[in-house]
Order: sequence, then C-alpha cells, then structure tokens
Amino acid sequence: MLVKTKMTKESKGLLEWRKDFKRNWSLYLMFLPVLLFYILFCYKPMYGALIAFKNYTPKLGFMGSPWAGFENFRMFFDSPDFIRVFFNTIKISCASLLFSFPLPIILALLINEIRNKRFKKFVQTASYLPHFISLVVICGMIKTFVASDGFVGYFVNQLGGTSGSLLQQEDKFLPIYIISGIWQTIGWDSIIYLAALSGVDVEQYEAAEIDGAGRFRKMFSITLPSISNTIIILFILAVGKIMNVGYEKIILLYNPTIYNVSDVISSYTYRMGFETQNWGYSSAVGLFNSVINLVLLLMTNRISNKYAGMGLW
Amino acid sequence: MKLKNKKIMTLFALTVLIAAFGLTGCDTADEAANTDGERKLTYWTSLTSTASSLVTNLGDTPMMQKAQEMTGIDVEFIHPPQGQVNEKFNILIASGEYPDIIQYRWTSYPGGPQKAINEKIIVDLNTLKEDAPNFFSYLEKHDEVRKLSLTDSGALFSFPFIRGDESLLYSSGLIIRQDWLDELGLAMPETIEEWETVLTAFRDKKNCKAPLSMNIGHFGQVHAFAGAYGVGIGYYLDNGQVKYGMAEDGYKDFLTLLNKWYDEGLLDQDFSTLDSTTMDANILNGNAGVVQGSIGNGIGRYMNAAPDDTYQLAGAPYPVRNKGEVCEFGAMNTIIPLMNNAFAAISADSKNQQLAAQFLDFGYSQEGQMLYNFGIEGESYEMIDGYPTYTDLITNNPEGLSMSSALSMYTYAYDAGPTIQDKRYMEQYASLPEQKEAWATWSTSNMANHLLPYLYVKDDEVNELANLSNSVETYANEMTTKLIMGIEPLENYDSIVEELNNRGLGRILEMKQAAYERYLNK
Repeated sequence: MLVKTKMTKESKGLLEWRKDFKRNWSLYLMFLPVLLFYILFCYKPMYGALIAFKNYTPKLGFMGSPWAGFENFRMFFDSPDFIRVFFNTIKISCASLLFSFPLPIILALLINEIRNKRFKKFVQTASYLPHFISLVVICGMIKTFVASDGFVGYFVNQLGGTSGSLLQQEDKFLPIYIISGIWQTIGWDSIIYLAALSGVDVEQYEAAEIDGAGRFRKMFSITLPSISNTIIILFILAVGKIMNVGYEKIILLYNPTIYNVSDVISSYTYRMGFETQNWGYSSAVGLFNSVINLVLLLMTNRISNKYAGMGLW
Repeated sequence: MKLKNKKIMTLFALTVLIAAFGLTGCDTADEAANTDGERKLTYWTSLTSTASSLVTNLGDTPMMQKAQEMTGIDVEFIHPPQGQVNEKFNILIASGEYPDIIQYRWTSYPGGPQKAINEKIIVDLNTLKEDAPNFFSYLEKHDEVRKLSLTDSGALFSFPFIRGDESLLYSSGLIIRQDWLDELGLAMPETIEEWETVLTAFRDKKNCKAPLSMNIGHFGQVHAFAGAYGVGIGYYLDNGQVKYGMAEDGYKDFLTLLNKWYDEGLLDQDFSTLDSTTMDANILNGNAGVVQGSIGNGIGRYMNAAPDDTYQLAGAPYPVRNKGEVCEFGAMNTIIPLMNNAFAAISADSKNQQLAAQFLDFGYSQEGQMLYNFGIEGESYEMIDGYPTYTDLITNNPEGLSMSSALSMYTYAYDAGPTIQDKRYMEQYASLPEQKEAWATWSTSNMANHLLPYLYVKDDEVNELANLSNSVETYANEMTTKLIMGIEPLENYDSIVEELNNRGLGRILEMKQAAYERYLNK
C-alpha cells in the first residue's frame, strides 16, 4: 500500500526506480525471499528439462550426459498406452474442472447467506477439515468406504447388482475420484471466494433491498458480478493445470483392473521414472505435459481477454 | 509516526529474511581427510527401519563397535533419511564426491553396475584381490555366487550379502488356518480338487468372506496354483529357456481356475484392490482361510497377534495336479537378494580402497561371520555344544524388544550386509514349531530348476528392456486381473497373448535369454 500511494504515475526509468528503492528498501528486502524462492525452486530447476533430450546418467550430470534428440519423445508417442493415458488425463481433468470448479463458488454463496454466525463457523470448519488430512489417509478411507463391505460399496453394490470393491469397476472410478475430490477441496477452495465476497459493498445490497430485490435477485445482480473477476482468474489458472492430474491420488487409488480408465500421463511417468529409473523418458513425458498446459493457459487467457475483457495479463 | 512505522517494517523485513535463510541453513559436515597412518573410512548405507527405531547411526550398534574394535578401523557411517534412499543416492552420485564405501542396490543403477564401473564411480574389486582373501576364496569355492557377482565383462562390483545355505532360499509360501482344517476334519490339501473342497468348506462352514485372500502380486511371489499347471508367474527358466508364464500353455487353465473361484466367492471379492494390510487383517479376524506370507513376517507375526489360543496356522504345500507330485514352482529367493543393503561397493576415487576392502572382507572371515550373524559372544549369544545360541537378550528381550529389533543391534543376518548369512540364524529365528514345519514344507518344490538368476543386460539394451517390460507387464497385470474377475472373457486369452507379443515380449525374452547365456558362460 505504501508503494502505491507514494508512486507517481510515470514511474519509468532507472532514476525513478532508485528513488523508489531508497524510499521503500525495506519492502524490497521483504520481497527478496519470495523472489529467491521462485528463482531457486521454479526457474533454476527448469534447465533440468534438458534431460528430456538426453540419455541421463547422474554421474555425468545434466550437461555431461549424451544427447538423445527426440528419442525419448518418439518412444512415448509410439508406446501402445499413449492414446489411453492421454485421453484419460483429459477426461479426468475436464470432469474435475466441470464439477469441482463451480461447487466452491456455490458453497461460498451459501455460506455468505447464512445469518447465524455460529452455524456459519461450524459449516466452514467442517468443510475445511478434509483439506488437512493427509492424502494417504484420505485414500485409505476412500478404499475402505468403497470396499465390498464398506458403507458406500455395500449400498452401491446392492442397488446396482454388482459385487466386489467399487474400485474394481471401471465405470465407478471417475465418480469416486471426482466426488472424493470435491469432499477434499470444496471448503478450502471456497475461502478465496468468501474473501472476495467480503469485499462487496454493503450499500449496494441496501439499495437493492429498498428497490425490493429478493435474495436471489441480489445474488445474481450484485454478488456474482462483484466476484466475477476472481472467478475468471481462477478459471484460467485451473485450465492451465488441466493436464496435471495429481498422480499421488491416482496411484493410491488405482489397480490393474481399472488401468483402462485410471492410468494417466502422470501415473505413467511415475511408473517409468521410479520403477525403471528411466529419468530421461519420464522428463520427456513431463515436458510434453507442461507444454500442453502452457498452450491451454495461453488460449484461455486470450479468449477471456477477448470476450470478458480481462485476463491474467 | 511514519518513521516508527518504517522502523518496525525494517525490523520485520529483517526477521523474515533471517528466518528464510535460517531454514535453508546448510549442514556442511567436516570432510574428514585421512592423514597418513590413520585407519578411518566413510561408509554410506541406509539404516533399516528396524534399526533406526533404536539408533540413529549404525556405528552406535554393539555389533559395529565390536567390528571396529576387531578390525582396528574407524568407520564413520552416513545414512540417508528413512524412505529417501533412492533420492539421496542419486544426489550422492551427482555430487561427484563419494565416501569410501557405498552400499546400495547397485543392480538398479541406471545402465547396470558395469556402467557404474565404466563411469569411474566404483572400482572393479578384482584389483583389490590381495586385500580381500576371505571373500575371494569364498567365490572360488562357490561358482554360482561368483557368476552372480560378476558383470558380463568379468568385473566384480560389490561385496554382496550371500545366503550361505540352500535352505535359506525358501522363506515364504501359502499359509492356511490349521485349526479350521482340524475342526472341519479335513486333511492338508494337496491337489487342486482338494484345495477347492477346503476353500468351499471354509466359505460355507466358517462363513469366511474371502477364503483365499491374495492379490495378483501375492500369487506371483509364490507361483501358487499356476505351478500345478506347469507354468510359473512372470519370467522363469524352463530347460534353459527363459519364458514368460502368461504366454505359455497351462496359464489359461490357471486363469480359468481362479476365474471360477472368484465367481464362486472362494477368491477374495476385493482381489484386485487387496493390499497387504487388509490381507493381514483378513487372516487374523477370520475373513480369510488362506493367505501368502513368510516365516517371520507372516506366520511369526500372525501367531504373535493371534486373537485366541485355538488359533493355529500352518505352511501349506504348493498345490499339484496329482497326489504325491512335487510342485515344479514355488517361492524361492536368489542367493544374493536384490536388497538395498546387499551390495557394498568401493568408490573409485577413494584414497583408502585397500583399507575399505580389508574392512568389508572381515564380514567373510570366520570371526566376521560369527559377529554379523550372532553378535557378541557372552552378550547376544553363547556357544552351547558348539552351537551359537542366542541369549535372552535376543530371544526374550528384557526391554520387550521384538526378536528382529534385538537382532538389528547385533547382526546383519536379519536384513542384509556384506557377509554370509548363517543357517543357524534362521533355525533360531523360526522359533515356533509352526514356523519350522512351514520352512520344511515350503522348501519342497523344484523351483531351483526354474529360478532365473539376476541378469546383467547389455548397456545399450537397458532402456529398451525397461520400457518394453513396463509396457508388457502393465498390460499383463491388467489383463490377468480382468480375466480372473470375468471382465474380460477367457475366450480372449489368445488375442491377449498376441498383444503381449505385439508389445515386444519376444524381444524381452530374446534379451533375457542372451543375458542368461552370458551368465552360463562366465
């Protein structure tokens, strides 16, 4: 805030910057660790992507290992499982985006409407809770719930006339993955919307009330438009992560019977990299993943800029 | 006011900075340079989870203190944190600065151990022959161990953990509820038909939810039931030929049988999601009648946790087609197990190579073997009639430690290390009569004719083999579970085998066969 008020409109030029630095050096100092973090942990490791084009061996290191050209990529595209893991990744991500993205917004709107403070706090706490449980434990719980004698598994099997754990049935994997994902993240993800909601001007509501607007009218005409920027930005970011299906959860939940619907690029990379120690190959697959993510991010941002008039940049 | 604000801000910024840097504080250990005449080594090895619950450094165990005293060599042990062995190993290799001894599963080194020697990370021990007389004389007397230890180029990369007796190679198999058999008046099943009768009885009369509770990995470990049809699971040897079970005649019969058992509720309905924890729970709480396990971690652990006094387990023989036959397949370990602590190598740029070889060679000497298998005389064992007998400190620990925990302070035998495992360790470790009987039962199979040795694949074939294997095995696992559960009809078996071949099974077998032939010619 200090920076904003002190800065003049045309703050270009080194001189201006030096002046600013002198005045606010403590703020710059505070920013330094953040900058270092990004340089050290986000930018510096990027040169490691080099090993996607190499026959990597640890002794020779990143620079010393012999070049392999596009060999690693060719092997991935030629692999009989390529089509399957590629489409599974897209399917699972899109389904997650479709169902998991809007729900935190709805929850935030609902929480916002609650007038009883105590109840509000209770709902919030209860919905955050799963976020703090380790993923391994969450997956252990899911497995127990959907086993043939688990409380979910038992009822679903009775209703559907099937048997065995639900995780052995191809058509049940996606619902299990999505629903458990919602349970895990809905509370936590709604926080950012709640924060945006708290910034909405109360006077607008009062004015609307005088005009005779009901709850839903206010929600659609005031609340949603006020937080639409937040929603759009988060949506663009979510699209940018579309290929990043968390491999941890997949690996903890899947089994050979349902590879057909559950094996994704990241779990495939994991099996390749850690079980067969083929790092060059794994990096190639990971790099492919990142490039698609980047393309999607750029595209969404562009579309958003064009039609919604706003984007990340 | 503003000035004060600024001061506070500055102070805060500094605090944040200090905290940020403090967290990344480096722990540069003093590099102990060996001055002349000092007998000191550095030794990188993982500490087993059993031992790490009692000590933070292997050097603190009574066994290692004694070893240092007996050899007159000071050893400083460096351990990676629990569960990060592979990551830390990679970082160690990339760092370019190596301790004198690096103990790791070198067979998993990308490109194989020969590559590590070529890259000048570790040394070919043949150059240190004079410093390791005990080890080399053992290799001369035991041709199979020699063949297993040598790479194709004839280099020797490590001091391995050697199972010193054939009986030590058999340690797991099928475990059955003996008390249920007795109660139902059934004999120990031998043939497939008898097994079916027993499992059916367990299901109907004992209300058992999953009479046979094993997943595909468990079947693979003991080759059970497939063996009755004359095939193994995974790769195995048949008359000198490397084969892959799923592509062989007989495997379809095995799948047909399991498919039938799955349909009838004899095989665990959660078969493909079953994990070992659930399997343990099943055998303990009466949900299962038959599981797979080992002498110590299976029977021993289950009997310790037995819910009541009547609870009784037994090792079951491998199922066969006709009564009286001996099963061709069963569970069997290789003489040198592929474990994290089974290969101690000496680094190529170590200045103390000879000293390191001497220290490692100690494990193969008479005194060294006694120490690493039984610990310290008068403390962890007593010689009774020439038989090294563990004392109460090990078998009935006054502080309530389990036998393996106590052994981890005095021996390598409970896990692995550069020494030769003694049969007399196992004789005492398998202390319950059930364990002893199971040991004998499980040793009865012709698996020795079928077990593949560890194969050294050629440098330029390593990546190809890894990729093809991954593709073939993923597909095979997927289809096996689907065929058993009836998701994929058994009629498709032939086209599945065809797909295995399309994915390169033939090429895999070709590479393995060539490696096996190189092994024979060593």
